[in-house]
Amino acid sequence: MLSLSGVAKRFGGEVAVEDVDLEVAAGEFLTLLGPSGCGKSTLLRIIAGLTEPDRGRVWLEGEEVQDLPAHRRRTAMVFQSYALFPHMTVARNVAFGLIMRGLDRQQIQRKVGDALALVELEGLAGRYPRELSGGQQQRVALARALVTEPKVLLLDEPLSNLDAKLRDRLRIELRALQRRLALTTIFVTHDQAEAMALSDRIAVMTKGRLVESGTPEEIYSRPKSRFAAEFVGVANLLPGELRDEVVTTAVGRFAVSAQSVPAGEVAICLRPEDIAFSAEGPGLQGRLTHVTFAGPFQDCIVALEPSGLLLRAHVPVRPWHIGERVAVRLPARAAVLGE
Amino acid sequence: MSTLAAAPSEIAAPRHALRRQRRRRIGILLLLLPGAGFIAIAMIAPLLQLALGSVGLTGLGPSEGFSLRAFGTVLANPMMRAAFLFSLRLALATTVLSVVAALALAALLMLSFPGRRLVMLLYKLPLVVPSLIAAFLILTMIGPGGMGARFAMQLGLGWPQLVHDRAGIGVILVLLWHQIPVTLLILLAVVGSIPRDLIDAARNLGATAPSVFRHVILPLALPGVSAAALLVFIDCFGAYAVPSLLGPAYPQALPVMMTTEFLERAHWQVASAIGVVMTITTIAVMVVYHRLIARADRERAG
Repeated sequence: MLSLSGVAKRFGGEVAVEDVDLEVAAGEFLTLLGPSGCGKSTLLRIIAGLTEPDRGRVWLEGEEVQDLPAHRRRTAMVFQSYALFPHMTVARNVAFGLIMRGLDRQQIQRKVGDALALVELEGLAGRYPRELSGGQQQRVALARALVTEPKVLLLDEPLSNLDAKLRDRLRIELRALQRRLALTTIFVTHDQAEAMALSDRIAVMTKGRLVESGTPEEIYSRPKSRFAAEFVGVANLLPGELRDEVVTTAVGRFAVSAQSVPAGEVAICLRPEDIAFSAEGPGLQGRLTHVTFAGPFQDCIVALEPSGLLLRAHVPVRPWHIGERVAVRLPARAAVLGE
Repeated sequence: MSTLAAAPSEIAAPRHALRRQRRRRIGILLLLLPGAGFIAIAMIAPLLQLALGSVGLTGLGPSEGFSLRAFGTVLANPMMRAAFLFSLRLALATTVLSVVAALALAALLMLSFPGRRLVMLLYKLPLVVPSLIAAFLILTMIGPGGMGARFAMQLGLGWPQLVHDRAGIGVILVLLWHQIPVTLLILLAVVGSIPRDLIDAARNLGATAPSVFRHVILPLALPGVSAAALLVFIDCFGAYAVPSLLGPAYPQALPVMMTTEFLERAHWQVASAIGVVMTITTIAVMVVYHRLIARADRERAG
């Protein structure tokens, strides 16, 4: 559906995107996840044709498009700022792409009506963007993109300007809409929770490079890189030595699945919910140094004895106290990370 | 007893408050004095002087008491009417041509092409050359016996009269020489303030470069365009130096007539009346402009 091969872009001397290869399947919801300045928005703009890559190729439905101007690419982008035309009504904003493609008035009217119904904004067609709330503006931007029936929908942090509650609701709506329309979608965000909630697949980026990609479950439970492990969720990274699919660390031995990590110095990743503890019993001994209530669980930090190694653990709610001694149990298997 | 005892202090309190308030007001007036005083001396006083002078009440020259005779002279004189229309024509033509040329240049400068930076630098050049010098430059180029005329003669062709002509082409050319960069400077600032995302969104939605300009940039730059047009109009309507140097003997521009009345004929009252007519015209244009802008805003607001 969409593929990128060896795509690179520099601004001045600064690397924005470096040798990115990426395949996106038809109907897939792919998220480009990474910290700000990692090149994810630049990559999105390269796909849209708004930024010209220095190197590399872009195919869209089998057609090589890297030299095609933006207005002929049939991609539709929703901008972080929404970029609604302030001098046009909602209806006119939504109609813009159709007018540019030369559709007749009746078709435009019908399609604009349908698009506004899709995002539940039928009553606001005559309003101007400044008369709308942030959430409504975001829906107009989405309707304006969807109405053009793009080959690929590009979303550049479209939810980041909304408050947490609205963002959560729109996340669910956006995913439902994308599934219903089976629309190939690339979503850019720095918010890992958003990436997990929305995506079929997450591609993690840092410093212009794509470090790894996988389903949200794979990225979370079996990250391959140190960066992905730390960027997505909370990670306890323990150094160790890999030999015969077993990693030996200061706190014990962990079985790892056969992965493409060479034997030698490695790190394993333990998620906070993989760690359990009880007031007494066998296992590693430690002392609680931090306890906070986090709703469905308690967020704790345990200092292991005698090593002083700190582990972050999410445990079922119980009146744990700072300073309490605990017996820590670690899982038998863990994800192993290369560099 | 206790209520009576309390009464004087209750009365005294508002008195204190009044005095404090009065002192604060005087303080505010003193603070306003430098700014307001400058406006009063530099702008209101001359305008007042002009208005009073036009009805014979004060001003330079002998005062003959209140009379509207000067206005009668100005409005009845066909030369004055011709001068008014000539100035209006100069101003309108220069305004329209400056705006059109500056819009075209602004659109061009949005594209990236080799030498764009040089153009960005060169277009500002006329801004630092006084228009009187520009008038001489244009004269040497398009005047009779100028470069153009000599070149045409070499080819055995005639050369039209472009200076001191009744249509004011020479004057308009010099005014344009100065006004196009001014208009372009304002337009580029306005266009530069349009968020890049809007232009990208339009391109992403299928708009070609000319469509982006027409549907997004132009409507959003319109307040800037109209403000620039207003400034050019007012400047050209009151232009004296260029029309007096390159304009025809008849009709003359209104400021040229005014100066003649004032300096050569010592008709202070008539000169003042011309000044009043010019001021009223520019105020009228500004009022119309603000009405149109307000209406456009209302329409936009639905």
